[in-house]
Amino acid sequence: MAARTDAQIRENVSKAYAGRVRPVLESLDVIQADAGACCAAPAASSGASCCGDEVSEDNVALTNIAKLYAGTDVDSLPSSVRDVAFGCGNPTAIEALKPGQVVLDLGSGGGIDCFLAAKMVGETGNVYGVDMTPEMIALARRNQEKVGARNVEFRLGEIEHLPMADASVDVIISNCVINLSPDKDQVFREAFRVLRPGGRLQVSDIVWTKSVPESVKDDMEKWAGCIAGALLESDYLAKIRAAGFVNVTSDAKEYPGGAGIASAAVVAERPAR
Amino acid sequence: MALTFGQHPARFKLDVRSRPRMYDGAMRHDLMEILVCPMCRAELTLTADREEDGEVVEGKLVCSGCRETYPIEDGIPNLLPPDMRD
Repeated sequence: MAARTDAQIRENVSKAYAGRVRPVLESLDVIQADAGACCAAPAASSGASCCGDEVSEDNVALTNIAKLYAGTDVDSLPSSVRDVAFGCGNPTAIEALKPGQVVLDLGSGGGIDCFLAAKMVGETGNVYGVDMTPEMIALARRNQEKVGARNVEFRLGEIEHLPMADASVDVIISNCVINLSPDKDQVFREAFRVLRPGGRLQVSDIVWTKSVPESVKDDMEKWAGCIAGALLESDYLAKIRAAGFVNVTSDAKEYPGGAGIASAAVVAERPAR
Repeated sequence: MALTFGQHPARFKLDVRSRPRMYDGAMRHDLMEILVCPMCRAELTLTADREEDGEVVEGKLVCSGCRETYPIEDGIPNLLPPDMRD
């Protein structure tokens, strides 16, 4: 990975997701069709396409929303929520959220998991979504109006530098996002910091069940497609433990094809004291 | 990165008088209480330059610790680390 700096990776990932969400923002008149089209921007940084479909080819199998959210009330959400759900699992279903809890979603995107969490924690609870892509925050807020969720706040921020107070959160959720970070150790340290003692991390993410091919690691399209940045499952869990978490468990389900790519439901706890 | 949206009606809600929420019977959570500087984690102070319907549309959040300023543009507070803003 020496060829890419962390900043380049973040920029590429942000651009890729901004590109994915632009058509939805345009259809909602949140942005104008020609406003800052990322396709027209000089490709100073990379070969990562923010507009092409190739980014999503890798994880097309990961985004079957009906399947991912089976048994969840996802049909009641607007299409502008469902159409930009790029997850690989259903983090709010890993363990039940309770009324009154404070929940934080790392990489909240169009907001689907926040809205599902908001229903579960109810009026006495609160859900915060953090995303580094301005287009995603704009869409999430528009979606929030449509959904009518009053107990959700979206913030433009970076999951490696959360704008959240220490020990302020009961449960952290995340859906296929941490793999995108070039500094996962820092993500888990921040998650640990903002969780209250006894709080829980419950995330869906892509992991490898066998070693990652070298040819994949430096491919920025595959990074944005959640493949290149993904870690070996055991390394992923080791980083979580290194941040201080205990009772770390993972349930990884491999995708067909035998490449060793899996969607993992990972749970970890910040020790109660 | 610059916020270039021509329009988006969703506004940053900064209502510090929001209803009290009970949390384990002890702590109260509202927006300014839980929001901190992403760099040094000190408290942020809000300055509103323009408000609409009680919501801050343009303004800034200034860190009481490191003095970093975080802009609020088009209703969205930009809490990205300063080096990620452009």
